[in-house]
Amino acid sequence: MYCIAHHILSPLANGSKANLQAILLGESALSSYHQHFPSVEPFCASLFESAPTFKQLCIQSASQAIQEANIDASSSAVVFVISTTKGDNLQLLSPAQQIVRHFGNPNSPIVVSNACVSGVSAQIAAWRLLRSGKYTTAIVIGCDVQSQFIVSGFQSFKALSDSPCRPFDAERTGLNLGEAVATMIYSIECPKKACWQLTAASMHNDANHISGPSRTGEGSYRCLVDVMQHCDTADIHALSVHGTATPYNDEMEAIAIHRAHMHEVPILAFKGYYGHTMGAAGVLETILTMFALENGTLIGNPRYEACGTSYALNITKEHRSLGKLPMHFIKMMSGFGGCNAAIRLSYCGCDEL
Amino acid sequence: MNYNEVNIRITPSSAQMNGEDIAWSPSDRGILFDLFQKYAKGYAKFYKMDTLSQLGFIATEILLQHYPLTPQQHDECAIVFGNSCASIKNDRDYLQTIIDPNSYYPSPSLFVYTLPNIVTGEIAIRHKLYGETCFYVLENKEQLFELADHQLRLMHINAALIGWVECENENNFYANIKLLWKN
Repeated sequence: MYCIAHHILSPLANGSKANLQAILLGESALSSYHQHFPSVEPFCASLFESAPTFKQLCIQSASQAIQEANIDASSSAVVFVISTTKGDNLQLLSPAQQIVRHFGNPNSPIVVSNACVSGVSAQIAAWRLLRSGKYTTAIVIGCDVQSQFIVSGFQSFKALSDSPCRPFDAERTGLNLGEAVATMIYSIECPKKACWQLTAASMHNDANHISGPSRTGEGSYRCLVDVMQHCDTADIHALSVHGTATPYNDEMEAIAIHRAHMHEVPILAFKGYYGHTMGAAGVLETILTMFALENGTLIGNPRYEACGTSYALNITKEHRSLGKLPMHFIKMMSGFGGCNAAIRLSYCGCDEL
Repeated sequence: MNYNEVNIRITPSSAQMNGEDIAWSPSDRGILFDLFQKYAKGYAKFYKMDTLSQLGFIATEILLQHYPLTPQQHDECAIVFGNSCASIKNDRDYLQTIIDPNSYYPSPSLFVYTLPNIVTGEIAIRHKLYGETCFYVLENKEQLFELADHQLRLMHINAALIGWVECENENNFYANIKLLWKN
């Protein structure tokens, strides 16, 4: 399954390329909000200024990706897979149906609501749907908008940092919430140009706790082992982690990565630029990793000063040069409900065509 | 290879396994609590769960007590659940803790259940199932069963719980969960 087009709309920029350029310059839309939602305490987040709705964002991003892919979204061979946790004001199915209808698509939408893992689970669902032979093309949209509901909940968990977050750093204190929409269009047909292909996927539960990450990184470790089958660690050019900047999540990921003997692989973590964009995160961060590697850059982790996990990882504050053509990367996510997911994407260079 | 298949259905007024009524002692506390008393008494986490999780939990509990998995099946068993209204019942309960500025007290114990996939986590924890867990929001249960059944065969998964678990409010819920496994 080949990614034939993608699009990101975030508070930072409109378009995948514009977003990559912004983070290459070290920009971020994380800022402080006071009395932004009723009753909630001040918080730091990355929010759209114009307060667009979930549906508007999904339609805008998908439209731009569809245009780039030059496909007919109204075809019955196209399926929409939508990743979200809270949808449009707690409604998930009805906005998804409206989005699909907007594009004149006759199929029922597939909504994936698998906590923070949703964006990767949605890509895995798309992969399997395309392999079923029923569809040729999957439009995967990840989106969440913030609300009093979400911010108050994370504040009740004491999971939020009141300043821009610092994934994996010794001084990290919690996560920032963020808004974004990201779209990837996957096709069974190679677009006859250099592109990324989803080549392995895995999901596992920790079977440990509904809101606390596993102390052994069990589910995450099992996912890494699965997606590393038939692949050398030296050929993995980046591990695009979840990296929420909560003390426990980052520690868990470091443990899982060590158990999988992947601690020398460069880590890419994007929450320091966008915050935790929830249902969008798995799609947004997959696109950013693809695009950064194509650009020959390993994106730095802003504000990272000192290792804050029991096991050291290959992380730098500054951007680094990849120095070679990309081969593979892994996108991994973990979330509430003990769910974990990982996918391997492989660069399909022109020499293979 | 074909899968063995058993199923359970629970509504506010009935419980059936493979089409046969399950006997239980009705009280005024509702079917989920009554079934819990019969099948899982002593598992204190049940009291903390939202109705959606209680529903999926007790249905799975009864299935797996009647059809125990082998250790290897346990290790790999997938949980693929879905419904059409996500976690709406618990979302509304959580909203009640934040909507009034004069009694704003967001409850972390309610907030954690404002994700529909938590029920899959509760079941994974109870039975130590390390396979994949995923939650879909779809138009109907036929769509879920088609999607999950196909995934199972494609991934050569040796055991799976595939379930439609819907809870609009305390008095309106429905579970239809299948256990599939290979010999």
